Amino acid sequence: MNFYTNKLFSKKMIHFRSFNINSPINFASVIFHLFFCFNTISLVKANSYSDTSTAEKKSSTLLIRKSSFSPKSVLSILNSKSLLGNFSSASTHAAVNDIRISGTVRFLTIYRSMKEYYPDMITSQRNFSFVDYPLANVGANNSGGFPMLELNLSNSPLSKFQFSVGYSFASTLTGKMENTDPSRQLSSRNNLRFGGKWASGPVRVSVDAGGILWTKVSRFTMGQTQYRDNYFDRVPWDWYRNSFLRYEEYYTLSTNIGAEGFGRSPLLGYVANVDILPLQMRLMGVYGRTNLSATVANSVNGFPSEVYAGRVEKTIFTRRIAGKVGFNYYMKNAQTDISRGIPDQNDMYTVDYNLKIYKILFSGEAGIGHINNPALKDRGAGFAFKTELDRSVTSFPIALEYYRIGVNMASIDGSILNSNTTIRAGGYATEFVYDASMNLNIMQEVGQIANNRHGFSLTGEKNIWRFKIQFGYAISQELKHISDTITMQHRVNAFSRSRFRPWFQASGPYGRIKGFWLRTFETITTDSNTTGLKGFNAFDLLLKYKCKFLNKDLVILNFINYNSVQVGFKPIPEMSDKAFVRLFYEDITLAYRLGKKYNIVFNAGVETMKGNDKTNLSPENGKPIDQFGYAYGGAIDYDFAPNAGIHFRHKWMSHKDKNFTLDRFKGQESYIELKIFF
Amino acid sequence: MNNKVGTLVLLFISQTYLSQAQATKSQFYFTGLGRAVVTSNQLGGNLTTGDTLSPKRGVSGYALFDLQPNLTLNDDLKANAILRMRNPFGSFFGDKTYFEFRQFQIIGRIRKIVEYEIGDIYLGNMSKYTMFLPDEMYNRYEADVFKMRRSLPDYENFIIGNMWRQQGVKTNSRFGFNKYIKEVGINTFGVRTNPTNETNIPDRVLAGFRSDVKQSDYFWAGFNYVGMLDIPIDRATINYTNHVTTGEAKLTLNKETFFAEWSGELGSSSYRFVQVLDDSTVSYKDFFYETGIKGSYKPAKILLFANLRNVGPQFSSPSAQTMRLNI
Repeated sequence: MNFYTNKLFSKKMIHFRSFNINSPINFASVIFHLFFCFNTISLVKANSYSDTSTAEKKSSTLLIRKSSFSPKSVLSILNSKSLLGNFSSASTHAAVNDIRISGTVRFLTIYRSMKEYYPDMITSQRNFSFVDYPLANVGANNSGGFPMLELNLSNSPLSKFQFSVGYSFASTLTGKMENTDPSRQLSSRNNLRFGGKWASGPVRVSVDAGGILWTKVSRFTMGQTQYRDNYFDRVPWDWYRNSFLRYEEYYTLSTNIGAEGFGRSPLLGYVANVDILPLQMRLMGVYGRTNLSATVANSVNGFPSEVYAGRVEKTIFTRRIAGKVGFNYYMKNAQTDISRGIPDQNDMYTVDYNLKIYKILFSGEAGIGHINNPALKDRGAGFAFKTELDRSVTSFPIALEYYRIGVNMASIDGSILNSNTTIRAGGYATEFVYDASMNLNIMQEVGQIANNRHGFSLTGEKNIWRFKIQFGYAISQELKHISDTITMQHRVNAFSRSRFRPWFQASGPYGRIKGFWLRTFETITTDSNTTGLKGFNAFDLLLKYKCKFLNKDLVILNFINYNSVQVGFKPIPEMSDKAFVRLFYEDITLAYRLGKKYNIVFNAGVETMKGNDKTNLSPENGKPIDQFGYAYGGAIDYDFAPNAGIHFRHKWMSHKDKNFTLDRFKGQESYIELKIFF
Repeated sequence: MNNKVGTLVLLFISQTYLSQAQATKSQFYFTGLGRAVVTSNQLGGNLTTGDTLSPKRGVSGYALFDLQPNLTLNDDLKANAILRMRNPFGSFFGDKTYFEFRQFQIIGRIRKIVEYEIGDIYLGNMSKYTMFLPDEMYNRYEADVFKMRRSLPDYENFIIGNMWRQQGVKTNSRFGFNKYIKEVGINTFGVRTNPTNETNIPDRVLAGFRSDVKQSDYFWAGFNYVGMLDIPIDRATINYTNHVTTGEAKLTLNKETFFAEWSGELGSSSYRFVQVLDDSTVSYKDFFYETGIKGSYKPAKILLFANLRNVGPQFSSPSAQTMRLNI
């Protein structure tokens, strides 16, 4: 028999019973438990083989009489209740019609052929892969890929209790036919969650349990950073049934289409919401663990790491002011390891608001945080205030934000990019080379915020005829010098390069490449003798145009980005060698609708990254980084059914550093994706 | 023995065929259970001071979903299985999710006389000396909050009441008469508790039956047999048998103002264990009896009872142990 209890404490619990009441041990156990059962008959009634007295009690309504043994006697069969209920009565059960079946079929093939490549690539230079990341176990790895078949069962959304269960099937097509071959995977990648709703007068309660619960508490506390979308590479969670609609929305919408979680954090555990309608208040409670709370190695061994969060939100709706104000609490309560009891904690208390006052939108968040781990016991504070004028006020919508966030104001589950080296993904003991949350002195995208930083960001947009212009400009400076490191994002070939050695934070020939899910970063070091605080500038310009070409729709997207890092708070980006690093990136995407069901896409991008002599110098010639990379490619999307499409992409890619001569790769990549929604 | 088994199997096959032929209202539907549990434990106190090895805190749990497809071919045949999906707390995006085949059952009825169950079945409540899974100790009056916690391992370990979860077959029949006696019940079962390794460890089976007669509302009597034994094979290194036989009776007088009952059970066991390698045999026999009376004066809502029990030290009944052990 499999006796369930906490694995760590199973023995302790048994021993505990043998302690006398004076034993100097305190044992405390808190259990969060959500349980539901549909058709309880099947699981609780097991009275067969009962003794006579039990049968007597239960048989009165079940007596089936039959004349067979003798004309005078009556033979009756007393039908005891069986496990599945009574034979003669229709069971009360959830009809199959009440269960919704939906899902996705995603068959992906990626072929990569490299003429030049990094020596530490985990695959050979020519590689077939049937998942997003090569050598990853689909559905059984830390974001290792998406399954070929995602089969979701859920019940009616109108019912009081809901469940959503996803069966994920995948195969890496190794050619092995054995059923036990590990390339065949059955798992549950997204859905194993249950929910309940209750309403009692003006109070409404909902509880969700299980996983994955994509959860957002506030920008600072819980809700992971959003990045700009790539317009060419397809994302696994792409939900568009109509391929060209994707590009049309890139054209029409000002906001990012978004990643899988829409800026939320993946949570296993519980989320409860209580709406008190007369007070226009919502109370939110969160308990569980996010994907950054513990390492994969410690994920299921009872590692002491948990996340608590809560929010009290008040809706304000008056004649002149409308919006929400919230108080937020977040805590990661963990220990450095499983037995020594050394705390590894960080928390935040914040207030956020989103109010429209006289047509002007004010939003922001402010709060304090604490850190308690072996390397640091301290507190920090931070705020971000934003003012927006939307189209109801001006034809030139604009937003200005100022933020100032201390280095000890840190939450790896929030949107503040982390520079605090004691706060690490997976816990304090995580090695730097595996800490995907470390963003020391990052050249962040416009609109993103980081700790140990203060700065402005200005964003706006203007429509001129069919042109749509979006721009963003960000200036920031570190608050104190904590590291001689700069982190930069490679935008060209980001996905392709992240597949070279996924999840490792010190890859490439010089150990500087950081691989993320769909993204690639690089860290370089700066001269430790340089004085002055680093300043960061970022400029984004997105030009969008839609027209008819040969009577067919054409969408053109052109993104231009320039980043610089230098000493000091500079209002204008540094264009000269005074900058530690200068990064220029541009890509252009053309999506052309050839027919109702199919379109073609062309994409090209270039990127240059130059360092000065205060940064890493090449061991080959003593000069700083001088990188040039490009990518160009074409694609065909064919929607052969309203819920199905096939997508082909091919691109040529190249990257070369003039001075770090080993830092180069060149090759081609093709991928084809069949996606069917049902 | 083989002939009996063959006949039994043939009977089931033919019955299944007949049932399918006569199917009039087949149904297929799902039932199930979902659960998400997170347990946060903390250990403290003087004994843990300076202890750097024992875990002081732990967080663990799981989310599981038991999906049970049910097939009802007709009034005389049902089948079901439970397919479990379980994701341990802390593992993301499908990592360490596992699937399990938790239950399979076929339940049927032969000519409306014999009800049978095959597969994962529950056995219990014959008598406390023959087939009985005792309750855990010291929790009879516990608070509901602890009962909820106890329900988790109970469910995981298939504990429902005082029944054992086993794999095999059981039958159940009850016959009613209109003269001399009211009812006769016959229950049988056979399960395998340990499989052979096809070399030197034999199959071990547990089988038994119970027959009871209800003469009237005043008198009831029953006979129980449970045997646990190894199926001999030539190279077996052990040979184990244990037989338990008991008889029960009950006299009841239930009037409007009072209730009185006498009950008793008497039985014996014989145990034999042979170690083939060293040619040693351990065997013993013993007996037990238990008798009791109880009476109630209903207007006063008072129940008085007295019991006398004598269980020999060598009485052995493996399917009715007096404490729940090893879980």
